Amino acid sequence: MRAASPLAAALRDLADGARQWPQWFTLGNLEIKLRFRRTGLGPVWTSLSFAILVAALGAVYARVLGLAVRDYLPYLALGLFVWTFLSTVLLEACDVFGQAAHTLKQLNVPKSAFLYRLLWRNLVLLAFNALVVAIVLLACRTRPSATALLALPGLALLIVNLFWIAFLLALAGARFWAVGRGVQAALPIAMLVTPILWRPSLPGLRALAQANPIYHAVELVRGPLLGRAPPIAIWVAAAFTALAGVTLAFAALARWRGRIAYWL
Amino acid sequence: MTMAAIELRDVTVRFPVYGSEASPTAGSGAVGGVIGRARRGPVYVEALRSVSLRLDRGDRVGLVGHNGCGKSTLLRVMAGVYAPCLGSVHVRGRVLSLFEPMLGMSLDCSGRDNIVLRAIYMGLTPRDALVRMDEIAEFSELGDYLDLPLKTYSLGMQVRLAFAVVTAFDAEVLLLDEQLVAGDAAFAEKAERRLKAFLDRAGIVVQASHSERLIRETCDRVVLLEHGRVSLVGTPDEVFERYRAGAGATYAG
Repeated sequence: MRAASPLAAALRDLADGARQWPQWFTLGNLEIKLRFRRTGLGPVWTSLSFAILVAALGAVYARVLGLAVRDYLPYLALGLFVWTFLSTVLLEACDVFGQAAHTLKQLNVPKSAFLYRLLWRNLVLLAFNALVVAIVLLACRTRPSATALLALPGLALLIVNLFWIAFLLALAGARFWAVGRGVQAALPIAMLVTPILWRPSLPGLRALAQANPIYHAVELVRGPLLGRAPPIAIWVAAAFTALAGVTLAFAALARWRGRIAYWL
Repeated sequence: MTMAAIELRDVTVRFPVYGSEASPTAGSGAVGGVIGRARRGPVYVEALRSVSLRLDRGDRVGLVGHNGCGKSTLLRVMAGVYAPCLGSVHVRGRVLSLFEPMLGMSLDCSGRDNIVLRAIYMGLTPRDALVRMDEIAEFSELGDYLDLPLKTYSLGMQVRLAFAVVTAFDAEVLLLDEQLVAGDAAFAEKAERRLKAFLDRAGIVVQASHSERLIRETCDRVVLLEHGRVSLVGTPDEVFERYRAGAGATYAG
């Protein structure tokens, strides 16, 4: 017989969720399969719609900004690539427990498993978009250098940071319906003020770019693939944010884990 | 197998009702838990109040009472879904809660995929399901239908598949809300044998139901709940005598 403290229960939730990877791996893949069932192309639809987005925005904004398409397109494709992943994870996180309410009211499942599954599903879709990015880089003759390898630890840091933010949004979203609406409203604005369509060197917008943490998060992946290694300070800041954020999300999980089923 | 056991001490469960303007009055109706309100905070429904129970390996316990008396909530507390607001719960042994036979199944997936899905929603891995796949498929008698999506099945066939999956596994603590339905009549006899073996394998069975017949068949000990409180624990005879007497008074017939 065990009387678990909230901290131990939260830790066990994260560990049990990880141990149950065959379950969320299977369910995550199935969700993708079902989302694109009877489309003929399957998840390649994601790649296709992403390719069209990149092509359309690229054609228009290269002219708006007066840039050469060959220079601009790789930058834009990589920015949208990271942004799509980031924004989808955050938006879906708000309702992740709400979507699972039926299950959460019947089974004692690790809450973390739903977050792991959310991340996994979006990583699979990210991989499909990576195909498009690879084609764009090849077509524009952008030769990735050895620096490009830094995109992998960059992506890992981004994922850890998204994980804790998603966890907090999931908890808050389970209790307050307004959270999902708020995030939905905030995301397009966040995209507009982040250098994705425009370059951070644009006069008058440089300060805005530098003050924007999302810019630095995007740059952790985009920078290396365009041959620019992010400065050390950014890596340190991202790692520190990850550490502090995971601690915060862990505390929140310990505090409110037992209340999630009551909120739904 | 570990020695399955469940221990509840003074368990109270209150559901907050956010955004409700209901003002609780002193008396309550014949159904439901007690409606209350903290000095500050939302209206709440007290579904369980100071429930203490101890169940040990071998126990076959029935939960009875009116609609909203707390049967389902008590099962969910035992399942670990609701952490008690006051009091404590200790459960030893692997819990299997079967409140909805088709939980997790998808109409767009094939019968075989649904066997895996249903198992996942019992806390099992896809591999666990694959190991039992042939046995489940054979018992279900669904044949080639197992390769077609579930939406091509009749409701009876869907239920039959769900029954075949859930009864294929073991649990130390088995929690059931109403009868675990099996499918049509031709299937009934075979299903009954399988269900009996399934129940016999479990260390502890807790069965909530409105059906006196079902409770008498399954349980040797019955807990009567009234407005979220345990009002009597006893043999089926003792409890149903009291339950009927009480029901006569409240339902007027």
